[in-house]
Amino acid sequence: MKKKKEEKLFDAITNIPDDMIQEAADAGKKRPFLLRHKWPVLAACSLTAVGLLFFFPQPTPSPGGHEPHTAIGVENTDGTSSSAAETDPSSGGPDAPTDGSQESGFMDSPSSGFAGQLADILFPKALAYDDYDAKHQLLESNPVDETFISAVDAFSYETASAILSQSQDNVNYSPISLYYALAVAASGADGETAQELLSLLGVSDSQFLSQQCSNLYRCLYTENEMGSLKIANSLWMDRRYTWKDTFIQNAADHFYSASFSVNFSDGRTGKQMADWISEQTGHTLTPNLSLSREQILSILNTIYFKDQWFTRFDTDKTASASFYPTDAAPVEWDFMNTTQYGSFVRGDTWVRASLQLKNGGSMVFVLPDEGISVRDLVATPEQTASVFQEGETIYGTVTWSIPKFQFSTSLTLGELVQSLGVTSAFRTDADFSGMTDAPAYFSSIRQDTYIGIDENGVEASSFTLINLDGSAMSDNEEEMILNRPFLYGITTPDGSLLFVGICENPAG
Amino acid sequence: MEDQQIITLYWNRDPEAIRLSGQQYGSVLHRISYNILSSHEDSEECVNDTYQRAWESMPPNRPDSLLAYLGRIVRNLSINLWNKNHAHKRGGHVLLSELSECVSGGPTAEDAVETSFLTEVICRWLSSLPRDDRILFVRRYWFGDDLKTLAAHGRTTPNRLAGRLFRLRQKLKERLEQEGIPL
Repeated sequence: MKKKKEEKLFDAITNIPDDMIQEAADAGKKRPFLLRHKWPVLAACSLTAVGLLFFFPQPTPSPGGHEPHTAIGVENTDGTSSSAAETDPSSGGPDAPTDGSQESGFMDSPSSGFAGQLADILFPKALAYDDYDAKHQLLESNPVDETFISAVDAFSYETASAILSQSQDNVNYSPISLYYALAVAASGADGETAQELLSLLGVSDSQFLSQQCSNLYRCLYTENEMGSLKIANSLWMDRRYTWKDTFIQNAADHFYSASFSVNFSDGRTGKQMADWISEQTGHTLTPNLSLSREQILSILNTIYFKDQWFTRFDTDKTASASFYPTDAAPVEWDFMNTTQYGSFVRGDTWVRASLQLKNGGSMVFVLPDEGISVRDLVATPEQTASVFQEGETIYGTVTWSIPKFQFSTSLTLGELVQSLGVTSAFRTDADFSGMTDAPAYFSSIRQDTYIGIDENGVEASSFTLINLDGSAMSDNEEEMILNRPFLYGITTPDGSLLFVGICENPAG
Repeated sequence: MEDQQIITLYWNRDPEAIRLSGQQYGSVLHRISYNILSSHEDSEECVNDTYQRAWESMPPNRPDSLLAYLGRIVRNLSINLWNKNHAHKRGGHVLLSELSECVSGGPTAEDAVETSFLTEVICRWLSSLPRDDRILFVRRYWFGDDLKTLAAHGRTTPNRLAGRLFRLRQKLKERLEQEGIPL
């Protein structure tokens, strides 16, 4: 007997792809699904990390007249109030002698284990993986403006294009890390310096920037049995100078920033900063930091991300195969293999497909057609956004073969930031009067990142350091055989970019 | 427990696979079936049969999503049972009745339309929808959730939701016609 036409439709709907069913199942558990889901979008942005180093020219320590800061606020988990950590003038704080006579710049820190620590980060309350009600409430109480998301996206693609297109080897970059570090700096800038920074960050108002960064931070923060997404900021301030309460308080209130009073001439300070970075990044990054005597402030941002594949790779299917780097001999490497019903996009010169992660994001892989350079795909910000966001989604079978890889990269970003219009901040007459009355300017911006993927999932981390000195097939089948250099990113279900990089050679 | 671990138990012929499937997905499978049959007794029967079919079909099958795999089985079993129970009665199932709006009333050449092609067109159409609309459609016509439940979850009214679903069905009808599907 022939089926009725509506029964055929019923049967066809029965066979829609697994990920559409799973998407609806997840949305239907508790969280209202008729509302737009901002938090995964925001989470995507958080997978990028930027490291900024600020150096201030080492002037003669300014004579009195600076108000000593006596309390440093740290935001409570709900972001609504702050507690105070009293500084101890007798132990090397802003009121410490300015003649450098004290041997150590560190203060005792009974709670954190970090010498010289004035205030620690009080991370927001972590929500359970399936606590959709709490997640929804979190989104409602921490609204992130669409214009801000657009600004972060534009910043991400502009900087990613500039960095990736000029790279030669493996490269991994975290836009959100750089964004947060620059945002902290902007909160202490004034005049032309502030205007240039705000322009690059795509916002017009410093207060708006701080508030939106704060809301985004709370929406992104993830710590559950499936994975983590932790952003951390810190200020490392030369103890001989006076730093303005408003700057430190704002960093604590809106950027969850820890603060330290240190002596940059002390060799142990660099080790302390490296240890702090290591602790915040799950010990995936332990940089060797060489500090300058002229340095009076460092702003650090770290991002740590870890998540599991929605469908793990079968380790029994991992097998050795050849990878073909651009300008090197083929290498034999372990490839993870699976075939899944999912979605993909065919561009003019590339194919894009993604793998879902358990906390709502996904890792996107973009494979250029043979004969096309992976760097051609990121030649411009528009092209970069296009390969990650545009194209018609096709549902079908995707045969995956992905090399396991892990690598670390270190980027120097000062020139990039200057090329994007932030020049005043690098001049000796930069205006960071919101931080201190002492002259100060950017001396360097550095970002280190780590990324690793295996059969279980993905782990990525980064830190950004800003230093300041004193002035002076068939249609519905596709193969993603990633055996030549490819582009990757970590994105939310809505397509926002979290991490971005190029795997030129999984062997490093 | 992970889907793949449960599926491995099926492959190892370990009856624990059925207990864990029930623990993990029993309630959602019952709901899918109940939304079609409106009978707890019949739904229970279909869900139990679903585990039996899964046991018989794994191996050789190794699905990526156990929920989707079991869900498809329970949908098929439930609609078959509904057809059997209502073979002698007039009128159709409410879900089928709503879906009939997506097809024209004229003569059909249904044999020419393979379900797989129809699925492909529907997938492309669903993927072009805003996420919220796609989820709404799948919750209504795959999971079979009723309007009251969907409205409560979406913080809207059943009437408003009915209008939204009506517009979605019209859009699907237009897409099917554009694709030249002679339904």
